Amino acid sequence: MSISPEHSDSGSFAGKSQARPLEKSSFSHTCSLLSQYLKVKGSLADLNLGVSPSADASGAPGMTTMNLFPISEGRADVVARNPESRNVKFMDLFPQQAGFGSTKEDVCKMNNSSLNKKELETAQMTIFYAGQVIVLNDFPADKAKEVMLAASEASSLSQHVAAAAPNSAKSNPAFAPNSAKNPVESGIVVSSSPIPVPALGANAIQEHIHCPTEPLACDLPIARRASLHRFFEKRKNRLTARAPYMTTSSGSAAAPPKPAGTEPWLGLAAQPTQ
Amino acid sequence: MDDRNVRGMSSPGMSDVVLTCVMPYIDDPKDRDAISLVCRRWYEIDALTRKHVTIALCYTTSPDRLRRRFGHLESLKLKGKPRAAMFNLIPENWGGYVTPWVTEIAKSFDCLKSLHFRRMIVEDSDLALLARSRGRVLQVLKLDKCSGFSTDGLVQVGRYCRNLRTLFLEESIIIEKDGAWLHELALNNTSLETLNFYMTELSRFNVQDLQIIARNCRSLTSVKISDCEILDLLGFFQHAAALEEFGGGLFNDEPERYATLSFPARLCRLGLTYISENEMPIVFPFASRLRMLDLLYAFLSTDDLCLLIQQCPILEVLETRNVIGDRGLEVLGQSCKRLKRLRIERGADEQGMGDEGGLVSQRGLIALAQGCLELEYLAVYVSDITNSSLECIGTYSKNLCDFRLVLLDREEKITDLPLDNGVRALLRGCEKLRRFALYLRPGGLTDVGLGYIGQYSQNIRWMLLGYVGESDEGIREFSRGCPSLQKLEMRGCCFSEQALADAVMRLTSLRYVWVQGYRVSDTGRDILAMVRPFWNIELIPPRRTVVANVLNEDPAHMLAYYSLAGPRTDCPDSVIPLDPARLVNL
Repeated sequence: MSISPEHSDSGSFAGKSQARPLEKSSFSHTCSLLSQYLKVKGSLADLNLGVSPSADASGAPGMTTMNLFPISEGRADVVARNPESRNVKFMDLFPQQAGFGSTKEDVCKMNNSSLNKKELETAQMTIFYAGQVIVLNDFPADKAKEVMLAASEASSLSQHVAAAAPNSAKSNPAFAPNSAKNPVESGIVVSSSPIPVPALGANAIQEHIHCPTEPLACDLPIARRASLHRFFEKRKNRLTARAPYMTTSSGSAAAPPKPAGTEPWLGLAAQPTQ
Repeated sequence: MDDRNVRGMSSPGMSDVVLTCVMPYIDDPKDRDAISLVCRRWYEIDALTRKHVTIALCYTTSPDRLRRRFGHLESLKLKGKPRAAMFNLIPENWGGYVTPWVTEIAKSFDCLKSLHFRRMIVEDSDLALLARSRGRVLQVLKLDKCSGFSTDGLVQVGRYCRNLRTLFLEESIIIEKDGAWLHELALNNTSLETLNFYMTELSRFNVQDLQIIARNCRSLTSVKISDCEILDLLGFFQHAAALEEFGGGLFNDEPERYATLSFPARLCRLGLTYISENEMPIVFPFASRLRMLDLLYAFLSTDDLCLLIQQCPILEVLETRNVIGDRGLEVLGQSCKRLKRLRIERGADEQGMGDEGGLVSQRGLIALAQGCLELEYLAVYVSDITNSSLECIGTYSKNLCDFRLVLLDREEKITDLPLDNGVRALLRGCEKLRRFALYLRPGGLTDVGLGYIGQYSQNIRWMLLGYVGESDEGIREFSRGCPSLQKLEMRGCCFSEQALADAVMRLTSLRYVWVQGYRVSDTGRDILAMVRPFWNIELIPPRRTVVANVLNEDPAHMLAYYSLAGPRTDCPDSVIPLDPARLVNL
């Protein structure tokens, strides 16, 4: 592995942002605070944004103006006033929302599941147990607490954890649709290579995963860029295939050999010229 | 979010009118993302007004989702294969097919003017569909390191995309049937500004067509081509009056014949492939106005490079191989005070190829850092290194936002390892760093050093680490930091599956991780600790590959990324997806 240029990337969108890393994080931070604020107050009407100073400010005498673009000192003030905003870090927990083509539904789902905590009743629950992964959609919060309590009490109770899953599935479409349709589908993929990697089937992980301890491959060669690879190949051809009286003036993919004697710096490697 | 909020947004507090006026001025994608998360109304206005979207991996979402959210998109950049594909480390048929995207684009994206596919598989039928459906509006088409198509597909592009300003094919692997594609382009297009088929194998085009393009397209500023005798391009250069950038070519004739060559007056970015000492003098007359010089594919020695660089006082971008040597870097530091970007690739290892002369080490790096204070991008393969040279970069390179260093494996003895303190000083000094690559060797960086990387990489979004750390403790320490890290690539590190999984769970901004060379657990099951909703995990088992007639053992890869599209369905046999939903054991 090595170096990549990605010139176009840095050129096209990073250029501007590079200059102001702190400002930008402050911008996202502010948006996040604003979002939290809206969840609590339900509307921006209470915010005096300096756009219309009249009615709203007087309507909510107790409110101080929320600075939409706080500098770092201002931040503490906003946070202190709005207890919910202590949770600003939460945005980072769902990084896939940023930049990927997420949809309204996703955003709403996210908002529902995390911001309106009081209304939250069900959520997805993922259990890792004995090499199995159990994903439960719309799992009731109180049940989740029970499960976690049980799990933390004693390891001997772990049987009940697994048992709890199907029970809760009665009232909710608990399992991902895929698995519900094919509960016993088994697709075992076995690597043909001498060093097997996890070959994961649907229902038989314990039995079928077998992966001998592999010493770390510590001798991975440093890879070369494909374009340079091709260039060196061509260059080698140019040198070795070089023969007298061979001149072509038209372009050719294989970089036709040069007339002998035009590359004196390569003289050491050159074949004798006629 | 309920309707109350939507009404609230329309209140005098901030009307849609105000918001719609402000929105066009916010174009940083991160700012846009933050805005779209404020409330539904802002989300909707952002969706209506967002002009460009970059999708860093095409499997993270679906064309349908993109259309539903950003129906009015004007520009789309889509990336496919992992970056490792550029180093021949990913199976050719790994995936990254543009077909579903092109289908959706043809159907719904009426405003799309610019399309950039990178490391993706494109078929002729995709190009035909695109050309016929979007031909009239498409202004930019970039097939960047793509494969799977032939010149037949390009004929369609040349015929129907008459308003194309940019056609970019650099480093694409194209099946060449004939040169008709360029002829079509020459016949139908008068608005071309950028034409790039640099580092492709296309050779059967007619230079007359290039000349026609130069004559008809008055705004033609950048042309980069494949191997083609420079002497055949005299007419082209004559007509391309606006040309600022030229790359490619071939010198096959007697050196004297090149003396008469004259380049367009505005030319300031240059990359002459196969240029040797004999032809170098043709550059001297305009070297003083060169801003960019690509010497990656040049036949120049350390001495030649020094001589040339000396004459380029306003050079901002230089790409070369490590044949430049410490001596060349010292000349750069003295002569090129405006240098912003420097890329030094690894030269040929074999003897007799002309690259033996140059080695880059701490000496060159120190001279560079002290001399070129405006450096923003530095990617370099070094043969030797010290902590103090890294400290020096931290002290002087205050504008550095992208730093990539690979320590070559040729020299057995390295002056000063481990590099813990140097790396710390560099990270602390270069506060603008956004991208960071460090590829060393066993013993190059201890667990403590890896911890420093975590601790001092506040703004770094992309990282490549190779042969760093000593144990799981290293990555554990590392993953306590890196608050901005979105994309992590690792190779040849000693971490266990469990430690990798733990680290991935702890890195809060991470949305993409690629690893090759890690400690596989006894059962192979420890990797499952990484499983979570919306997180796709794919494995590439160990393989044997042949690159340039050399048989390579390629150890297993692991790729994991957030996706709203669910597990992908087009995996070839060489890729094994881990599908959490199917792991449920009833």
